[in-house]
Amino acid sequence: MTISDYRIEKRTDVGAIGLFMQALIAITLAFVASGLLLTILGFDPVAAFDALHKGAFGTWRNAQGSLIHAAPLAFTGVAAAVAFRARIWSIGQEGQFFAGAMMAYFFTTFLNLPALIMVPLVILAGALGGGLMGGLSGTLKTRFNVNVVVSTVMLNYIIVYLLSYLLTSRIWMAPGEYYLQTDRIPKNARLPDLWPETDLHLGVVLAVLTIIGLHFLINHTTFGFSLRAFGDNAVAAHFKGVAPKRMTLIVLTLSGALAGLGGVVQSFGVDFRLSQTFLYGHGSAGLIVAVIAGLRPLSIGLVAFLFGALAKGGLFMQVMADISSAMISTMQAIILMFFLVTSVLFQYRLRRISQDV
Amino acid sequence: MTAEQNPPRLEVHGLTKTFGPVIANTDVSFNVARGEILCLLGENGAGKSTLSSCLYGFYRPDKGQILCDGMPVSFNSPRDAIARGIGMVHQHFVLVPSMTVVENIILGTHDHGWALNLEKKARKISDLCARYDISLDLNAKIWQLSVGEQQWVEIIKVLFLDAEVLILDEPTAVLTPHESKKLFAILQKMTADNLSIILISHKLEEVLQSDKIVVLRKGRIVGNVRTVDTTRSDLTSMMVGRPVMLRAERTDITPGAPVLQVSNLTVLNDKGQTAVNTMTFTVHEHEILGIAGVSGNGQTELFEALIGVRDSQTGHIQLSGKDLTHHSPMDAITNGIGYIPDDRFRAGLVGPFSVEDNTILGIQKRAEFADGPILNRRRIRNFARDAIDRFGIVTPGPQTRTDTLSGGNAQKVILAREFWSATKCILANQPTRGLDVGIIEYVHQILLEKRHKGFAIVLASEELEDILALSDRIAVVSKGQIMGVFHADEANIDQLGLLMAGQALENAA
Amino acid sequence: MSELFTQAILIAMFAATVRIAAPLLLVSIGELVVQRAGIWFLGVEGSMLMAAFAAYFISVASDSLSIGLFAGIGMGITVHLSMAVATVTLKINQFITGLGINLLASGLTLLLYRESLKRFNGEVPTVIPFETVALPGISQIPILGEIFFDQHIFTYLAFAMVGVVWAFLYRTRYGLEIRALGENPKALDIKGLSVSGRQYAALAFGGTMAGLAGAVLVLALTDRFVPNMTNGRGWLAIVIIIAGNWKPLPILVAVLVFAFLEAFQLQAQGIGLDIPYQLLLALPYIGAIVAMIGLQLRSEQPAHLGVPYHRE
Repeated sequence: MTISDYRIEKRTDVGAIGLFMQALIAITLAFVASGLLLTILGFDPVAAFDALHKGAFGTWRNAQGSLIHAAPLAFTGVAAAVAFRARIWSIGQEGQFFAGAMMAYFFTTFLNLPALIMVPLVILAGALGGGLMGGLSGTLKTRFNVNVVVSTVMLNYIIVYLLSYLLTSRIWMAPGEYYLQTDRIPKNARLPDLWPETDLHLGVVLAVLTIIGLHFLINHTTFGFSLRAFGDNAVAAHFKGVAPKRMTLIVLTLSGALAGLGGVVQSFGVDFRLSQTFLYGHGSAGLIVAVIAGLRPLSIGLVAFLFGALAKGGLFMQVMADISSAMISTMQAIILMFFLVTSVLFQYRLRRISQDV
Repeated sequence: MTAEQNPPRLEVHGLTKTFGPVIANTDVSFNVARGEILCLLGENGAGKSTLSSCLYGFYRPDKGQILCDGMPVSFNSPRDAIARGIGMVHQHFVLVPSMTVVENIILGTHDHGWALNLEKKARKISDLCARYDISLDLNAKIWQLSVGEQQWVEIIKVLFLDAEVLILDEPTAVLTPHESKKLFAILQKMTADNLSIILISHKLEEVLQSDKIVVLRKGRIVGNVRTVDTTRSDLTSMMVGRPVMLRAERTDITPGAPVLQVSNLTVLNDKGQTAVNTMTFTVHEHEILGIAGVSGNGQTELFEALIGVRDSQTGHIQLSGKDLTHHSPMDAITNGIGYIPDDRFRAGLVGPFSVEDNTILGIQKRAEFADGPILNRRRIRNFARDAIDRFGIVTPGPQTRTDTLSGGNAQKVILAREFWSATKCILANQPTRGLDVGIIEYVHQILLEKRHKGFAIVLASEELEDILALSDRIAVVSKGQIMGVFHADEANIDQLGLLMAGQALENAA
Repeated sequence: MSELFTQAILIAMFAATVRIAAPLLLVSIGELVVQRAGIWFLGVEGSMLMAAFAAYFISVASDSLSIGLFAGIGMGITVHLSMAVATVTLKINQFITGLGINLLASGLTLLLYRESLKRFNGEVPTVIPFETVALPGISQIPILGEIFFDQHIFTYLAFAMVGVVWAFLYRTRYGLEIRALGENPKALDIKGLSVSGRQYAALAFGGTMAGLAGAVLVLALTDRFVPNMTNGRGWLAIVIIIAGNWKPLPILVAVLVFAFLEAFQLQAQGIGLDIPYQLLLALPYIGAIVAMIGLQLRSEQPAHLGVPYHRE
């Protein structure tokens, strides 16, 4: 006689398709929960989400806007992913994003060169600024054994105060300016648009290239191999030739440089100014993007686009339905929480077991 | 005997336990009387540990009954077992290193109120120590104790809970021969006090000191005998299911030129204490140097220093005349040193990596596997397929996650890699720990093969039998020092045992 | 510079230090117990922020400080227990869950604050904060009395909690068990004692303390909620625990140092010292990094901190 029995088993690997399904379910649940929240706050969730959708994809121009919003998140996303793949818990993407934008802006304050030179220069400066910030956390860890979580969080706060100082002291602020923001970035330093009559700029292309590059680096190179080995088992990796301090320093610097590039892309491609409100929130959003994408660069591209759409649609939602932009950061966090919970469900599968008795 | 009149202290009837598709125990029945030592004998994976976990309430058996003093009992948690007077000494210590002996012993004992009553409890502990002739500094932190002393703490921990049935899982694995003798003296005292002992072991000489032996193979009982009625060879063939050649064939070869030369090496442990103390030794071509000693006497730190993951304080390391002192692990690999670690999934393999990735771990930059900075998947996969064939690694394929492999197959992945990359010297730290007899024989054989090919091999093992069977020379270590070096044919177990316990011999060579 | 150090100013500064220390001390002591139980909870910042908002909103709505206070505590417990469900029961990564809680708290409180402002027509309602309680007799002692004994009841409670938690951890059975959880939870499991039950209890205590700290911020130290008003205090609590080497008394010292930095900053801004105020505001964060560089003692860090317990 054969008895069928169902048993819950743990799986070792969810796989790319499983992860996709999981993200889909998490996002759906998050929309349901956000709809509930909106209802409680007295809004019509259907109207709100309709505005969100129209704002994000309603026209070709809006869809372009979503892409533009996605670009910086792609950078902070891969920045977080590189660190987390190595199991280095850096939360410094926010501050490194600021640092990248600030370093690039710093170069524009004393250099005025043709765009052909200036644009690559500010891009490199952004990587340098973020990389220095990340490298500082790395040095603090490897030289003084300062917890990476602590140093990156503290540096996030410190860099914001530094920008605030550079503005209020009017070192970077034009006389007579009312808002706390820098002068406009000169035209020859801005990231050029891809074609006339579009807002799509060089930064979007850079984001795509970076994502592909990181995918290749992590999965197909000897360095990526060492990085993954270090993240999955630092002890074994050390025995097999991966120097832990060196790897920590490299990863944090690389992660910082990527976040810094994001800062340049945002401020030199979109805002053309630096201000705390313009730069704020890209680090934490990127971190959520990275986690939901399972720390895989190509998936990060996809999730970043989704979050970019959320940000773009959120602006429209704010105008149309008078819903605070804080709703978007709340929704991002809700998506993350549902993703974490569904990840537990996806670790298990129901399996039919037949038994001969 | 009393067992005829009174029901046994603990009795098991038809116990079956499965984990998913894996059957750990099938229809196991036995009993142990008061004042009796019962031994559960079996290879790794025979189901001994699962069985003891069921007796201790850690797992619930799927089928079968457990009886205490003739009364059926059902354990939902170790608390129920403890309440019935059952105590367990686990194979791996379950102590809190940063806490004192007293704190560890009273941890989780629920008698009265919130207060700790340290002094009152310390008195009870001192009484127990005195009765069983154990000397312990009760206010010392666990990390300050020797491994042997930690084992006494584990035993007192169980006695403190007024256990009448003690389950000891491989209790001598970490003890010196001298300490093992003492353990059995303690066990004899316990049986004199009418306590029952269930001893789990795979070492025959210990097993023969019990009253009754239950032999397990693949989760089933294959023998249940009184110790007086049996012999070593009976037990071995019952345990393994076939006759075993425990001694590998070792041909005589004259050692060649020196390969690994270590002089005056001093290495600190993580706590900054001297773990390896001015060690000097040389290993030649065609030679296996056995490092005999109880684990925790500096072997791990020695190997880590030789690999380059732990820096040395003083001394020199030379490989074929080339100075390697203060080298990195990468230097060790490129200079032809291979390493077989004791803790495979900690120091040897990246668990979530595929088998093929683990076969090239550490050598991924070689031209065989990468074109410049880019990995060549095709060549890596071919290499892994070849390794799987040559070493008989049982796996669904080269892309399977390594942490789904059995211990023996995981060890073979390491062997495949290290024997490919090593050209001069192989460091093997407990290479057979936790493996089945079949695989142990295989590892021994392959080490001897490498010796024949001219490798210099350093082999550390807790099992003196391994050391005696394989080594050309034996260095005995205790507290980070080499207590003596012998040629294998001159060594005898008693002498080695004394040296392992740290007693210097007058005539130590 | 000299006017910064007149006696009256010094006394005011030290009294402010003690006052500011209260919420930081409460949240740090709560997080200490949580970390000793092996949970690496990075979401304290969010828990405190949610509690501050709840305390503010409910006390405005109910017009009762004490109902608001309990709402704050209840919110702290709720947030901490959601961490327990996620990481102890579901075994989700502690680091990511803690961050998620922070992000959710910061987004949600901002959203709710802005939406409620619309209801109040843009006018921020305030609460009438708790008064300080001068202890009879000892508050009259010159200098010391002014500094220490004319404080909020929560301040006395916070300081008392240091002693209570010390006695609990080192002098009681349950404290011993909590300490063992962070070091080697299996040692409890093999005695048949629930690891997760104790971790829930530790998080519930941590939630009470974080909730109280959040409530104190709005109901005693100020009179209203401001978005992101915790301003890194939860993170500082984590720094303080590392700097205090996971021991109650050194943690008290570390809290006082950070509270002093903040009091100094307020004082210096008050007198209009010629230092960029951003540098003063950044002092605690710079101080945190300097402290981490200077203090290399890690001997008491729980060995099992942040590692979920699986019975093998």
